Amino acid sequence: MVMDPPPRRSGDGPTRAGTAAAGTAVPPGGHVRDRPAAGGPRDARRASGIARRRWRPGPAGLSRSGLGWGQVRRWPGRSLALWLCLTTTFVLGGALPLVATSTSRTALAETLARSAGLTVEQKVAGPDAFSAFRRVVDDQVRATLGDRLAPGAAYGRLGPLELATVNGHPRPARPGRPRLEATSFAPPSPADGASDAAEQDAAGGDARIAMSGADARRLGLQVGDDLCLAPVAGGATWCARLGGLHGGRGGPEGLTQPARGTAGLTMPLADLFQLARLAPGGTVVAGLTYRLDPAHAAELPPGRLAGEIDRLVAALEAAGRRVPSSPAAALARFEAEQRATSAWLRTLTALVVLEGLVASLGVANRLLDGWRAQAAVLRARGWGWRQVWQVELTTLGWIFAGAVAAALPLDGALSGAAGAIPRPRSDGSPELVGGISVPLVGLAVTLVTASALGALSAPARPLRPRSRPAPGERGRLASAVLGLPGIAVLIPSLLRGSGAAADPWGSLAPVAGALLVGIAMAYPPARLRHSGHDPAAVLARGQVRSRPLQHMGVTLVLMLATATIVLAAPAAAAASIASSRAARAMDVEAAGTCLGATVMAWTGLAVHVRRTGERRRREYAGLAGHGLGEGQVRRSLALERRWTWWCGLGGGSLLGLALEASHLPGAAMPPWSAVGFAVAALCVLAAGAAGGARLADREPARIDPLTAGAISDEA
Amino acid sequence: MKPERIPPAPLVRIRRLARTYPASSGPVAALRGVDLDLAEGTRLAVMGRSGSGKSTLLDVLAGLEPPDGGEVHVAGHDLGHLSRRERDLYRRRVVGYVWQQFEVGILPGLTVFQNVLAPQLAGGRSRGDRRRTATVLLQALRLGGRLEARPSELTPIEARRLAVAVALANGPRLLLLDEITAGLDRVAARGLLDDLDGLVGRTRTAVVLVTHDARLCDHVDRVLVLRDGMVLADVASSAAIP
Repeated sequence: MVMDPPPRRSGDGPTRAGTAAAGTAVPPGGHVRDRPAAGGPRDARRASGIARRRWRPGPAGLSRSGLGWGQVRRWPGRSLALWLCLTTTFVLGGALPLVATSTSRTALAETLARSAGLTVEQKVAGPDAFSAFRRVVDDQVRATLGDRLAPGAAYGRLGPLELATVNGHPRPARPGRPRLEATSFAPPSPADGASDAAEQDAAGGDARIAMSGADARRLGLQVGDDLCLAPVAGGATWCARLGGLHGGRGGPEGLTQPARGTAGLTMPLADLFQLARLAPGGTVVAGLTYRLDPAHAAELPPGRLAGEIDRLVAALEAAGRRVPSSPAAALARFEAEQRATSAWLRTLTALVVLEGLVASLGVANRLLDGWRAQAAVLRARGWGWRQVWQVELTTLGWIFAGAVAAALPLDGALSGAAGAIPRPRSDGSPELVGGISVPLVGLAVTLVTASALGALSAPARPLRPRSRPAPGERGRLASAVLGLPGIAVLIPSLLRGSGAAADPWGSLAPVAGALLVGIAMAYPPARLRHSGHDPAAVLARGQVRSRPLQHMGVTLVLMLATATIVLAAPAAAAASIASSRAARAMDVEAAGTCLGATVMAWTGLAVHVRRTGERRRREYAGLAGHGLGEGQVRRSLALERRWTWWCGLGGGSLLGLALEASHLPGAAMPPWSAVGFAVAALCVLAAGAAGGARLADREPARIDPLTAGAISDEA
Repeated sequence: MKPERIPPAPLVRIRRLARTYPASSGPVAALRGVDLDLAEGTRLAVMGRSGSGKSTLLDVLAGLEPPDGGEVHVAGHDLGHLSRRERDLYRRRVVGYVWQQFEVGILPGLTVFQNVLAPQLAGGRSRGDRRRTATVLLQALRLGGRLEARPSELTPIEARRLAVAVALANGPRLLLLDEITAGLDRVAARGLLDDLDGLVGRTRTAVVLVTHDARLCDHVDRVLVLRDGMVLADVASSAAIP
C-alpha cells in the first residue's frame, strides 16, 4: 500500500491546507481540528492566522438559500416563465374582483341617483305638530337604517288654492287656469325650522312668496305683484307679494313637484300654517324626504338594504303615515341585475386563477425538475428531504416574491384606474388586498405542497447524465393533482361575492373541467382506438395510454383557456354597446381577459408541441434502424397532438357554453350574437394555435439514431 | 495474568446478504449470501465479471438499496432496519460514494469549491469549518488552483479527483469507489490512488474499491472476488497481484 504524501505543487503557497497537503497526509472532513499542527501551538496559531487571512476573500461559498437562488439563475427561462405565470395570476386575480366591486358600486350610485328616495307624509295642524312629526320619523329612520338614509328636505303642502286678486284686481275663475299649491320647505334641522317660523311670526305681515317663472307666465304674474289667495273649498283670503321667480323645480331637491295642471308657490312655513288656518279643516300635509347615502348604503348588500327599507315603510304605514316613494324596488331590481353579472365575473375570475394555478404548477414542476436531478445526488450523500424542500422553497420563494413585487404596483395602478370611474369611495385598497390575497394564498399553498411532495418523492440515487429525474408516475400524478389544495382555498373565496348568493355554476366549473379532462384521458378518441396495426397509430396510442400526464397539463390549460374565451368573448364584444361607463369598463376588462387567455393557450400549445416533438424524435430514434420512417413519426405525433387539442378545445367549448348559457353575460345582445362572438373567438384561437404549433414544431431533416434517448427516464 | 484483549468489532459486518430485483421474467438475484468483515482502515478491492453484484454490494453499503435478506452492519448501523431519518444520517456521517459514472455525483451548476461544500450543508457544521474542509481536500487532491472552475472545465482526471473530494467532504468512515480508475491510463490511475491513500491513510477510513484492473491490487489490503452474486474468493492482495 502506497502511503506517500501527495507531492506539493508549485504555487500552492504556505496555507494551512497547503502545508498539510505537502507535509503530511491530510485527513478529510473535520479531521483537521483533531490533528496537531507541526511545530506546536504557537506555529498552529500562526498558521491558523495566515489561513484565516487567506480564506476570507476566498472562493464563493454556498448556502441552502444560495443554492435556491442558484436554481433561479441556472434555469432563467423556466424561472421567467414561472414569474410570468404568477404575476399574471396575481394581477388578474386582484384586478377582476376590483373591477367587479368598482362596477357594482358605480352601478349602485347610478341606481340611487335615479331612484326617488324615501318620502314620508302626514297631515299636521300646526308648526308644533310638524316638528313632532319630523322628530319622530327621523328617530325611527335612524334607528332602523342608521346613516344609510340621509335626511333631505322637510316640507309642508297646502292646496288647492286659487288666485283671488292680483294687485287689488279680482281674478275671476276661468276654465283651464291652473290652480295653486303652496309649499314650504323647512331647513334640515327641526330646531332651525321652529326658530325660523317664530321669526316669521314675530315679523308679521309683509309676506313674500315665490314661484317658477313658467307658472308666473301662465298666470300672467310679475315679480312685485301683490296677490291674494283663497282656498278652493272656501274661506278667507291671504295676501302676499310675489318676491321672486325660480328655475322651475319646486324646492331644493325637486321632490315636491306640484300635480299636473297645478302651479306651485313656495312660502315660509309660518305663512303656510297661517294660510291653512284660513281654510275649513285647515291641515297641512307635512313631508320628509330621505336619500340613500351611497357610501354607507354600499356596506349592506342591496337586497338586504331593500328588505330593511321595506320593513321601515311597513312600520311607518302602520303608524298612519303615507309613503309615496321608496328606493326599495329600485334596489331589488339592481340586486337581481347584479347577481347575474357578479356571478359571471366571479366564475371568470375563478377560471383565470385556476388557469394560472395549473400553469404555474406545471412550470414550477419543470423548474424543480432541474434541481431534483441535483437533489438526488445530495440525497444519496445524506441530505434529508426537508433540506431538499428548503432549497425548493427558497427557489420558489425568490420567484414568488418577485411576482408579488411586480403584481402589487400593477394592481395598484389598476386600482387607480378603477378609481377614475366616479364612485362613492375611491379607495380601492381593501378590494385590492382581498382580490390579490386569494390567488396569492392559493398559489402559495399549492406550490408549497407540491414542492413538499416532490421533495419527499425525490430519489436518493444519482441519475444518468442528461436524463431528467423520474420520481415515478405516482409522484407526478400527485404533483399534477396538487391543484386540489389550492382549489380548496381558492374556490370558496372566489365564489363568495359581496353578499350575493353562491353561484352553483361557478362552483361546478373547475369540477366539470377536471371531469372532462379525466374522461378525455380515460377514453382516447375512436381514431386511436380503432387504428389497427398502423405503426403511427400504435405509437400514438401507446404514448397516450402510458403517459397521459404528458398531455394532461396542456389539456387542462387549453380547456380552461377555451372556456374563459367562450365566456368572455361576448362581453368583450359588447363593450361598444354598453350603456354605462361602469359596464363598459367591465367589458373592456373582459376583452383583456380574453386576450390573455388566448395568448396563454397559444403559448401552452406551442411549448407542448415543441416538447413532445423533441421528446418523441429522441425516443423513436432507436426505431429508425428498424424501419420506422420520419413520415410515420410525424403522423404519430400529429395523432397525439390532435387528441390533446380536441380534448382541450372541445371540452373547454362545452364548459364555456354551459357557463355562458347559465349566466347570460351577453344580455346586452341577442343570444345568437353572443354565441356567434364566442364561436368567432374560438376560430381565432384555433387558427392561432395551428399557426403557433407549425412555427414551434421544428422537424429535423432525419431522425438520428445516435440521439436515441432513454425512454424509461422520461415520465 | 494478562487479561485477554477483545478484538474490536469490524467496521463492516455482512452475513448472508441477499438482494433481489424484480424483473418481467421473474426475480433476479444480484447478491446471494455474501459474507464480509471489514475493519477500519482496511482497503478492499471487489472484483468480478459484469453483473456479478459488485455495484449492488456498494449500493447496499451506501444505504441506497435495502438488503432483502441477511444482515448488514456498518459502524453500528443495521442497514436492514434503518428509518428514513437514520438512513439520511447514515449516508451523511458514515459513507462516501464515488459512482461508476463519477460525473453524476458532481453538481454541474456549482464551482469545484462549492461542490465540496454542498454535501456538508446538511450537517450542523459551521461555515468556516465547511470551507476549511473543502480547501484541505481540494488542495490534497491537487485541485487547489481550480477552486472557482466549473466541472465542465475540468479534465477527466480532475473530475475524478473532484468526485473523490465530494465523497470525502463529510469525513466518512467508509469510502466506496466504483470503478473510479476506469478509462484512465495506469500512471494517472496510480496517481489518483496515491493521493487518495495520502488522504485516508491516517484517518482509518475503510475503502471499498470496485475495479476490473488487477494491477491496482497493490493499493489494497484484500481482494474480494464475486461471481453470480456470491463470494468466490476473499484473499490478501499479495495473492491477487498478477
